[in-house]
Amino acid sequence: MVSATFSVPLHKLNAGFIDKIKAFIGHEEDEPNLLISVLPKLEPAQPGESGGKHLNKLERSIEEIKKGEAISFDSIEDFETFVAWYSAADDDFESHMSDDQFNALGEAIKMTHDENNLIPQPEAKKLVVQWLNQKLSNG
Amino acid sequence: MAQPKTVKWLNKDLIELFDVALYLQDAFGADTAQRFVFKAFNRAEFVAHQPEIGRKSKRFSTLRFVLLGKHHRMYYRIEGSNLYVTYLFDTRQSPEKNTYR
Repeated sequence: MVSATFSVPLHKLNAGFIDKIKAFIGHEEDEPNLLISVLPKLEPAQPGESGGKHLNKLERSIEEIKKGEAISFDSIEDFETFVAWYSAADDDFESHMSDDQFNALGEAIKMTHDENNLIPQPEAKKLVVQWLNQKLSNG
Repeated sequence: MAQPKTVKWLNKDLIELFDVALYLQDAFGADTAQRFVFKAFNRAEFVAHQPEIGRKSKRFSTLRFVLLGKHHRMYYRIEGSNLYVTYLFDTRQSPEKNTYR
């Protein structure tokens, strides 16, 4: 596992930045074994700024990380997806949902209120893997 | 860092996931199908650690979604310590058609 940490202001994350990262790490595979972390950038101490004030900024940044506001990504794809969500000018998929699709989503929300309709992830994973293996062995 | 949420799948979404996997297996082979399935579970686990990362639904205030590759999106909602995978959408197709059967 290669680890890369980028410390940049979130508002500067865009497609151009991702291309730079890809070029930097020589990304070619679909699922690279790479951990990318993006941390909030701490502004350097300004001229004339007291050491104490700068320390306060640092402490604030550490607090943000503790609250989960520092975001790390398990793959380039996760990173790209995140940036796409935040940089996309508009997302009109939901505006074009049909009534049926809209109702199905509403119905699904209701269903999640009944534990009988729910399967915890470990069991869910086991079930799907089991189904797939059965399908494979049956050709 | 906050405790990760417990992921629970709506049973009908699991069937949908399986259907997608079967389609992928027939069309592109077992490896592709398995990759998609594990991507779905990994993505849910990823979101469980950072539930606010999903984009908010414009039409359902309690829902957020993340993307599964280019053509699927996974909707989820958070309640207390649980994360409910609520709906899997194929964004390319008409919703009236189940393209995987």
